[in-house]
Amino acid sequence: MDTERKEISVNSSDLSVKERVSGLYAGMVAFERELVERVTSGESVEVKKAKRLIQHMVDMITDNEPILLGMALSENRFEYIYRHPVNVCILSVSLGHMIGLCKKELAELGLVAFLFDIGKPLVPAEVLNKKGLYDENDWRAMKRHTAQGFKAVFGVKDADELLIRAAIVSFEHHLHFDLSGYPEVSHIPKQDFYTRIVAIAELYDALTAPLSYAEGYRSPDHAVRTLLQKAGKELDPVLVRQFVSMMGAYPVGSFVMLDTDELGIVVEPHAVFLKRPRVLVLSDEKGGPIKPFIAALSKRDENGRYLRTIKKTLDPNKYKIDYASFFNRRTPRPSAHS
Amino acid sequence: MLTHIERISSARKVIESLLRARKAVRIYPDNSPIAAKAVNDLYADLLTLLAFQDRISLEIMQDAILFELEEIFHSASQENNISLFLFRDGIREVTFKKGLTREEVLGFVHVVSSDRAREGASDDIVTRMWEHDFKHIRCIVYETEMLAAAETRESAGGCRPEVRDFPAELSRAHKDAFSKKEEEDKVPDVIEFSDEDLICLRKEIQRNRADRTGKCLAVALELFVLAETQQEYGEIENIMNKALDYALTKGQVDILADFFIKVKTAYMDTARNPRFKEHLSRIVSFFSSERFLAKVGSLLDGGLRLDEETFGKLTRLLDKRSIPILIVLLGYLDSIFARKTIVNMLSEIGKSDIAAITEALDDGRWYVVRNIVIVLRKIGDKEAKRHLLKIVGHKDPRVRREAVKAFAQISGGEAMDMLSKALDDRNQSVRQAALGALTDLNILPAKTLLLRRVQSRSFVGRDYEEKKDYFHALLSYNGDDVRELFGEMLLKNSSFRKTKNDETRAALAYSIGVKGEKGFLPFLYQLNDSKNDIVQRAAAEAIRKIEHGH
Repeated sequence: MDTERKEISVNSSDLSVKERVSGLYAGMVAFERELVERVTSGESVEVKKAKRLIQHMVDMITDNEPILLGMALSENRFEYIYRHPVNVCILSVSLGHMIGLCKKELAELGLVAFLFDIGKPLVPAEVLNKKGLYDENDWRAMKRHTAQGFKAVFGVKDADELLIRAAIVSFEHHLHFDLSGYPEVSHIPKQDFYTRIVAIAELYDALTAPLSYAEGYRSPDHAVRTLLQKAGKELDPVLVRQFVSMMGAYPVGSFVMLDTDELGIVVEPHAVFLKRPRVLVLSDEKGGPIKPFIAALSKRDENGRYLRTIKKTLDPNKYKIDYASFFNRRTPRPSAHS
Repeated sequence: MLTHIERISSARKVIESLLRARKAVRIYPDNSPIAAKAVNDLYADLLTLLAFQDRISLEIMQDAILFELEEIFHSASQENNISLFLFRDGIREVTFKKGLTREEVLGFVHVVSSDRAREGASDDIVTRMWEHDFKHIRCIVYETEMLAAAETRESAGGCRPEVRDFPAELSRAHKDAFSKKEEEDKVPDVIEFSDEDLICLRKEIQRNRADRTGKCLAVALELFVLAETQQEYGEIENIMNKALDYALTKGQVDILADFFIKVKTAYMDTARNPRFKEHLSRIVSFFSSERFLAKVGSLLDGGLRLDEETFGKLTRLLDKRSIPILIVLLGYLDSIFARKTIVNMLSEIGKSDIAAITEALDDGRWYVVRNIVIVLRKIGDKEAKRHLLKIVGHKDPRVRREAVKAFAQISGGEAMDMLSKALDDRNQSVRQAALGALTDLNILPAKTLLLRRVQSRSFVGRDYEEKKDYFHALLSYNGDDVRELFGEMLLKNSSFRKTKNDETRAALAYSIGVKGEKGFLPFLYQLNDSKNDIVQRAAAEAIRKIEHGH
């Protein structure tokens, strides 16, 4: 539905969906924390629990995709180490849904994506937490995490098809589409399909995470540009195109200034036009808070000119603009202040 | 409207039908009348109740099922207890709703009939229900993890950075935005997909549905190559064993065979260190192990068919250590196909160790000995001759028959004495085998022996079928001597043992017809006028076959 101006209605049923999404996200992060603790201490992990969470996630993605995606992309980056696999899981399943995987496959993909970096906690803490540049030994230790991940998955429980797929993705996720990454292989002709999906989701989440590998804020379209540059080399080109088409140039949760000088948050990508998402407008042209409304940037005036266009992107974390908070609270935060 | 008591009674009937359907589906295939009836009965019982209400909600307890707060099922058993079965997986309520279809009921019965011990612990009931995506059957699951999540969410929220004054932040952002320079626009407006992209994607999705065990084993091998410490080698060997076990359980013999080729190639690499070889040798020996081969045997018994390529790969990779195990399998495999496959394997592997094969000729079970004889015949090694000669006198005719064939095939002309004796064996199938062998030998002494036998006085006393076999054999040799003898025999009208003599002529006429020998037509025309019914009919049939081909 393309409306230029639409009041946000937060009725009770919407609220329960949003609360469930938020609860699920928190549950997944909590499970990831437990997973890391267990893997590090060599304890076994209960896969059934992860499966249940992922089944809920798949249901939510197939029903309310933008909300959960937004949650993944703009959730506070506190405890990023635990949130990263959860985000990769959500992004991977969203891409899987976009390309038409069935429900069972989505659950499968969700679990392998959830476990993709299971080897990371096994990298020595002094390497993992090192602030400066990595030397050769550091890199060597870091590069071993894919093999450690493969072994760790088999430590989860006895082999079955799902765990086998998870182990493969864990091993291959830095291998690259053209096999130019690590570890060096001689018996593997190509990356697994699920690995190629997870690799895109992993890179995208890393590129849009301000507190991860890079310093400072990078605009979301920078991540899209990077993915497109790496397509065909490090990443599967067809899947990258599908992913970019799904996310748009400005993914859900992006904090933007429009050419009308209004500020807003991207809430839903456009199905075709990458730069024309739906935006929740939060301020007037002077930056003053208003009762939020949704504006479709694909809308044009009678002369064919777009009514609104994204001019700039801003770091939502710098201004504590938390996408989730607009859906989590019983009373939307902006109206509390208006 | 039904009364409460009537509803409870109907609900009890639903549970009874469910238990019957569960049992039937576990034993019989879906299309069997018994399973189909059990599912139909359950479906009918559910519809009866749903005719009066929108939903049937069953509350699941550890040892009971409740409907409208009344107990409609109770069992304290740990085994085969449907309430415990569902409860254990966290299911606390099952609801059937109006609009329920038979397919959904069948799917549900399948879910609750699954044997988790056999099908793998990961196949939990909730997952199976979820995968079925029933529209009219719902479960309420006790979600401990979701409750924990809610708590975590609260605590995670508490750790978040403090939320500052929103209007002020918005205003600050607005101000900062003006000082921020315009971003470069390098992202396209639209992403286009070609037909080729979509076809490629569809193919990838299709390919992705194939099993990944082979790939997993390839990764394990990569890790083996990358391993540096004793511990790493051990860990990876352990993983390989797990994956091999899994592949074996799934009957993926082709994947195992492919993997073994890779392992063996890596093992043969002389540049590898001894520790690498030591660990890999244990993987290599897995393929000749009793566990592996016994599983292959049971898979074959269960109907697994190996294509020629897989069979070839597997057989080439087995070594002589597997011979005694395969021989043991021959003793207990039920299906002919399975035994035939093992015989073919032994025929390949046994070439490197004839002695290991011939040892099994002492086995007390005739069917094992017979199969070993077949193996020896297929191998064709002359070393087996002396062992086979002993077996020609085996007490079981089925063994003797194979031994005659095998010995003749391996020994050629040297088998004449044995074959001559075998022509007088007390069992017809052995004599028949000897005749066949003499035909196949295609040597003059064999022909001479056959001619002598046919001309002997005792020949006329043999039964009709055996005579035909002799004539077939000699017609294969043909030649003037044969033609001359057969011409005489066809026209010989002796009054001595007349019936037997006529039967001989009829058998010969029949054999000539089958062979399509035109040179005998003049004789056959004469016989066609015979007053003897058997002879006349055989001649007429032979003429028809020769002249018209049928």
